[in-house]
Amino acid sequence: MPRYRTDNQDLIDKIVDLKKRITRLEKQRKLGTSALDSGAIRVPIGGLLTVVDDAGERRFLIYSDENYVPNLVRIAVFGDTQVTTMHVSSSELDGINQTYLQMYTDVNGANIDRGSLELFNNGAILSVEDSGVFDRIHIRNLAPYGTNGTLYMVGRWPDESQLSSEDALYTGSRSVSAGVSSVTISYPTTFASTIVPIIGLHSASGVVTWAVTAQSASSFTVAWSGTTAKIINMWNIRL
Amino acid sequence: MKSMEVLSCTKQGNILRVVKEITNDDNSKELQLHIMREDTLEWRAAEYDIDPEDRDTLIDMVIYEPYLDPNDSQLYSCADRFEAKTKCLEKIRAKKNQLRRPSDASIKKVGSQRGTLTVPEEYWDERDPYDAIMEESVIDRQAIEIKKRHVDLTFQLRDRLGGQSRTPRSEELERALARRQSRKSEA
Repeated sequence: MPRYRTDNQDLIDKIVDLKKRITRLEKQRKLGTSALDSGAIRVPIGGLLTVVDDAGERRFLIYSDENYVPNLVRIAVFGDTQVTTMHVSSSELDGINQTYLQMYTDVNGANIDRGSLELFNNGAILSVEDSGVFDRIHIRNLAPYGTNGTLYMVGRWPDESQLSSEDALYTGSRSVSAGVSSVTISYPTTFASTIVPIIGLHSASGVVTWAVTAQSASSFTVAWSGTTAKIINMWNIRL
Repeated sequence: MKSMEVLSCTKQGNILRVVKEITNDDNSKELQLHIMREDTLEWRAAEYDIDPEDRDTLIDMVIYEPYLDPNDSQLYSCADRFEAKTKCLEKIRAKKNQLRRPSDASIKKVGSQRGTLTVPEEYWDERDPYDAIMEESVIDRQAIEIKKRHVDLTFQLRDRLGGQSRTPRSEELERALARRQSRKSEA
């Protein structure tokens, strides 16, 4: 019977081919300490997932940074002159669980504008930073700003500004000089539903009789006794 | 109110200040200040499909709007801004005719004053008040077209929500709650 055996030359060819492939792999970019494991990409803490364009420029990257905040993942998108970064993290500290989502824009290393949403198991914070100036809105229980159900706000309301007919509030303060005994204020655009004027009348000259004498989705009128100067303070709510 | 006459219009910042002389039913007179933002005419042109070249109609819409019955002046109770134009302008014109001051030679025209009462100096302007309102207002046809789109979208949103304040999501929630209640009843 013939004896079947591998030809020596075939074996040598196979070894050469194998060596070439190993050499090519060694020269290629490696996962390093990362790994593809059962369909998952595993990257150690401090590692990066980077997407580059055809010119080799970074377009966006995903990386973890436990040195900054535990369990923090950053996603950075690189524009022509600015970097927009999103932080996502979840952590537990002293019994308070927190999920933190923050987006900030860094233009050439200056003028950071930042929007943040911080969610806790006992509260939430929505905040905006514009060139380093904070306007924060605190909602519900978050020490040291209050107890359960406390709504705490920092910032200012617009003065007679209306973006659309769907606005929930119309706020402002308007001075009226002496000589008139009523004022009608027309809203820039007609509201989509009933808007109720909640008015404070400032009368520096003393007590007067006054009332809201007309209201509609397009305007309201306040009238008072006498003709001394007044300030109309308004906090009108849309129902 | 027996009658109303527009006496003057001035501007401070982006706010127009229109002074009106009101004659009450007991014939007493008083001055009323009407405040509006400089783009209010733009919005009314968009909301009621009024040609911005139609000066008097546009200004009448804002000037007489506060004297309408609130139910009559509800823009978004109409089917669309075209119906609003027909319905509301008819009422504006009727109100203007009702409040028109009868011709009265005894009304003083001292110096540059127009009415019976003296307009405070801060609010006085020699120009015809309707001319002044038009000149001091910001009116841009492109802006009007953009605002028309907003108005139309608001009508569509109202129609989509069935004229109610609920969102489609809350309708789903109500159906789910109703099913849950039904299951509880059966149990």
